[in-house]
Amino acid sequence: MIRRLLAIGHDASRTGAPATLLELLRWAHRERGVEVTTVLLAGGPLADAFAEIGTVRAFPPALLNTRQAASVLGHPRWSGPTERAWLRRALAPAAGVDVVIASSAASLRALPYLPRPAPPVVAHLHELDGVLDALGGSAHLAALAASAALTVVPSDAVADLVSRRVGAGGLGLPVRRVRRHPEPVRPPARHPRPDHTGAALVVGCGTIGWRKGTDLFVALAHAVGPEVAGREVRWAWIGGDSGDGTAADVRDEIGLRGLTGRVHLTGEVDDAPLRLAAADILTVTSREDPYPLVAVEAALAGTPVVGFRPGTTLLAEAGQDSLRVDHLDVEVLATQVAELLTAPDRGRLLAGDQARAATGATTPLVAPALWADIEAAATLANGIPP
Amino acid sequence: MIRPRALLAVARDASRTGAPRILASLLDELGVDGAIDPERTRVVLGRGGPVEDELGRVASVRVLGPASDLASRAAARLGPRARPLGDRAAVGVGLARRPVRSDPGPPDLVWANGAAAVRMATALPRPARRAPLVAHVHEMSIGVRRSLDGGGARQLLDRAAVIVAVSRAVATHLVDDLGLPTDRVAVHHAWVPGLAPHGLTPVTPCRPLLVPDDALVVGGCGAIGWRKGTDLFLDLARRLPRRIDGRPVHLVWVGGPDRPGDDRRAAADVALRGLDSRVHFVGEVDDAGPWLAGFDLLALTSRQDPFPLVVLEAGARGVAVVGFRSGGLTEAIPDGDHDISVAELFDGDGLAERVEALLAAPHARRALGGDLRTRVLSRHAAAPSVRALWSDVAARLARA
Repeated sequence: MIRRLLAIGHDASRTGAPATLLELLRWAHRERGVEVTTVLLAGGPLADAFAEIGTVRAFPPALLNTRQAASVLGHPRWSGPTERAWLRRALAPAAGVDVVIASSAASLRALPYLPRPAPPVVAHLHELDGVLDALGGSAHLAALAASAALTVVPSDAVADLVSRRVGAGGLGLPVRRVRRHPEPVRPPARHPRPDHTGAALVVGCGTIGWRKGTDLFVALAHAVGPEVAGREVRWAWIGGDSGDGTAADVRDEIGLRGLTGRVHLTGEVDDAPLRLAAADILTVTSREDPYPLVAVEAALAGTPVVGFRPGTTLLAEAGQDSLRVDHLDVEVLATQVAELLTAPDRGRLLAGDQARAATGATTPLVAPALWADIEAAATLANGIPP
Repeated sequence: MIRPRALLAVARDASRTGAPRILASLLDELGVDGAIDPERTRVVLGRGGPVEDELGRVASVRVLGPASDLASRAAARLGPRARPLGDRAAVGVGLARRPVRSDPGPPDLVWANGAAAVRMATALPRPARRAPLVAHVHEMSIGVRRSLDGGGARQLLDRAAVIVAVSRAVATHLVDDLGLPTDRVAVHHAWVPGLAPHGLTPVTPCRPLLVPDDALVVGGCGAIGWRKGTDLFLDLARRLPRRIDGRPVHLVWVGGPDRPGDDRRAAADVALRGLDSRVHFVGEVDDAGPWLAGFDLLALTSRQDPFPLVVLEAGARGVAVVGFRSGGLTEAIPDGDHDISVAELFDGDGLAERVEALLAAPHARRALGGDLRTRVLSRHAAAPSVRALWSDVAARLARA
């Protein structure tokens, strides 16, 4: 039985991994009475929500400034000692917990600073190759992930990656220590559906950047054109800036393609579920996205989802694998969008199938099974007979 | 010709891109002509790069380095009014960290190579700020805005006594959009460094090992990234047939990443689009000449390219060029060839149709390359272009 838990999050942004962690911790706190401590390696808008369910130790902004200054000066390692000292202090409460949950690949980097002997660790990994490369490569992360008693993944693609051998870019984890669970999504409240007589709204969602394919979303808007079946088509991308420089490119792309006024970047917003529900279609243009929560949220709200193969696992689960668009082919996706806008009834049928598939990813169904696996792994690692 | 001058050139970096190479060629040709005094010619770079050695052969070079950015960025965070002070502190710190062996005294002229360099030039120590400033603008609207952080572009460029635009497209932006006075803006197209009127030294054409000998090769060249349209190059690859007249069609891109990770992202895109077997990235090379000579056709997919040097370099080797209408391309290609070689920006089908038609018609391709070569040799040889530029600048400075 887990009474106390320490969770490590790489940040508190409104993105997949932090949102999943928050949902799981909320459920564990509410349904199992677990005492929660969360260590956040960076801040973000969800920090207050984490604080509502337990103690939060967030990376201090002063240290962030130190890191930036060291980086600008060309000596990024200069900030290392102070960061490591903070991590050791922040993770000290782990000495008294039953399990530690590292909620992403980036969070694994904090594991060496856990107090010894370290409590059992459960790694919840959502990332694919591109992110692992950006984090320093699989060999480095494999050594960290090897210490986890259990690794939870959201999709077969991530399961394949973590169990692939290290030399082939994987993490080399034994299959028996990997479990696949959909990421828990809170069932949405009922939202008003869009009016199909006014302008159509097509949305994309996620952090603006290459990985989520914001550039492809803009190209898609260009390919679909200003009107479909006499309806004006408007486009909105919901999400903040990834900081990799692509947001400026996307803004200029909108201007160069003559889409100013038709394509809108909303930035990070509090009411993303409402906006998803108000849309005619959600397009998932990700280049790499093992199990986008936004697709589940949109499907549960009744909004049909289409997109490129890497981000449309949900379509496969809804029995619509043939609709997944290969090779980032913007024109094929544009045709799908135009067809759905022309025939809203088809969109409703599609959304219905997807909603049924998405129901399996809602917190009431997912969290108990996931929690059972976490408890079993912690019990085994602690040497307590089940 | 005016007397040899003490020239201080300022540039953002010494990367192997068009602007730094043009600066190195400019200083070289001016030194050969005796227009500037090599002993009193200095170059201040924000960052170093592979062209630094080339610049070092014709001038004393100082690199401010990344630390000098700190004061500038910190001041910019405080507010727009603090930015100039931060810039001055940044340049001052950078110059103090790398002092010259002997001070050649105040310059007669400051040459800001690129829009970003104009900001640096306005932050130079007072003696240099008193010298007349020439801004050599190699950027179009997006480049100028990004280099000069949006606001203040006009005010900064307005400090220049003469503004040299590398194409009419650039001049139009400076005059029509930024409101700079027409009489201060001179259009001088870029030239090919090292190009003599009789042509370039022949080279052995180069192709990636995985490209079959009989392949038709469509090339792209430039920093991998959004501005040069590497993604649009991949889109072109998707639209082109795998074979034309029984010959396999391969696409080769020469150039390193624009931003860190851009090369990795482009390679991932190639895989995601299923183009692994036909698209090849060569990376950054010391000399692009042999690779350009290995192309059957150069495709320019830039979103904004004020006056693409690579078009001139390919043309000088008789390689035909097809591309998007996105800046100075139409000024580089003979007017009569626009219909067959220029597609509207983002018209992927239009570009692919032109490329396919030319790949299928070797005679037409060679004729197009021949037209371009004739034009480049007659208009873009290094020495005459630099002389014309310098005479015009000198005359304008005298009038000013």
